[in-house]
Amino acid sequence: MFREPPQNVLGLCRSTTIGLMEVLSDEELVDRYRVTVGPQQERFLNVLFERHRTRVAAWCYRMTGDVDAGTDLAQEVFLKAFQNLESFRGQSKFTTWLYSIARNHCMDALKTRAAAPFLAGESALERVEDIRAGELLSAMERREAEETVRQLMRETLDEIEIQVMTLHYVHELPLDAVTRTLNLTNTSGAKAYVVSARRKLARAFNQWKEREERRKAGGHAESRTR
Amino acid sequence: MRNREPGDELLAAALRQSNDCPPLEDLERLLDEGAPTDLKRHVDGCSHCQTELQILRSFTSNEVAQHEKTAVDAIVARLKARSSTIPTERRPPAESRQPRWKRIFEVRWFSPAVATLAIALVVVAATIELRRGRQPSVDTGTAGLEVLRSSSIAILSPIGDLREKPTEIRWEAAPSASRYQVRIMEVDRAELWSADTTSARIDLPPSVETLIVPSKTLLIQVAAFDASGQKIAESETVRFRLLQKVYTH
Repeated sequence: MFREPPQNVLGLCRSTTIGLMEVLSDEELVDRYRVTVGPQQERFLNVLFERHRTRVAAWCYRMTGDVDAGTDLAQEVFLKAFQNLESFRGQSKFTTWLYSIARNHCMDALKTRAAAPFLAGESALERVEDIRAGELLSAMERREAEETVRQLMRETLDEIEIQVMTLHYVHELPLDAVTRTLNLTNTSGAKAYVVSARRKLARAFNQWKEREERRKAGGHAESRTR
Repeated sequence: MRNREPGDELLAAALRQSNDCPPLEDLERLLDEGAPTDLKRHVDGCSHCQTELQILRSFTSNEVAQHEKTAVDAIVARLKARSSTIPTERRPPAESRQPRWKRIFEVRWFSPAVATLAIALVVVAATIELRRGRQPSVDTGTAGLEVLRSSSIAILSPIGDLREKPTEIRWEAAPSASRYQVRIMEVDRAELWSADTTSARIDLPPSVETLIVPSKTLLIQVAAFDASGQKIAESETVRFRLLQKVYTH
């Protein structure tokens, strides 16, 4: 059901030069867009576009690092959002809904545009022998191995390292896009965080392995004395 | 460039979203005060959700760092240029059937030759349209009567899909209006009922209530007139519809 603007807001609109559009929330603008017929629908889209163009432009620039590509992506994001405006059900804020479109669209575009997007820009990345997946997976079930790695990361990595690793390894963002998205200002950007995180994990893995070996050895000794 | 190695796969799996991770619409509540304790507790211990929250926060904050400002401003300027042709006037019928979201980024090449060609195309399109005998589209009837934003009236109710049959129409009062004309129309703008009133609401008579049947879309428009009888403001044409009742027993 349509949410009515508070009466004091309507009063403000009448008594000043502020238009009703400017005081309506994004969600109310979408409601109005849905029930309005004719060319006046465009006014609601214009207001939404004006309110959100900077954040979408910034997001698309961070993803691409390029003004031309960023403009094209930002345009596609708005077109996609307006095309699917009917599907916005108000279960989240409009900004969050727009964010999910921008994020998915840009990440899909990066994957499509790069032949092998994963680790793009990582060719010079120092390879670090860290968690040695083969050893872990031969010693335990996959789910257990994942939980062990998760635990090691919680114990050893800081907040930014976790964010860099998540964006790079889960969302498959190129390192330069991660650098811009997280606004990392160090010289090597996200690459330095990945190298640091993997070294920390390598140390933590060795310590964990030693602990496990001692535990197993202790277990065997105890069973022999029985 | 290399492919994922087993170690990368394991890292990704450990960092990936779990079944316990909340959707974005729940996560956004953490941007404001008053998020549920169990949600906070989950996010505090979940590296995936912390990352999601961080990038959601950076998007919603709308902040642009100094070093990226020039590039972002350039993108915004280009977007504005591409959207500057958003029409503020009613377009010819053949064009107005295009979805409105598509027009936002249209590029207008407006030379006399193109204008002539466009007019010719509109005539051809309109002729074809007439020959096809399509159902009439909703005509908002505002050609040449575009009312300025500052003098438009907001209809407050009924609007959209309704569970109950409306008994009145309410709208935002227009300054210096001495009379309002209210119209209820079919979707082809054929007038079903019209009435005048001096207040910013009007009761629907029983004869109109009988016209409001489930699943039938109707349109409302309100116009305001001053003491001299001059139209000073007009509402958007809004639609409403009584929903069909669904019986589950």
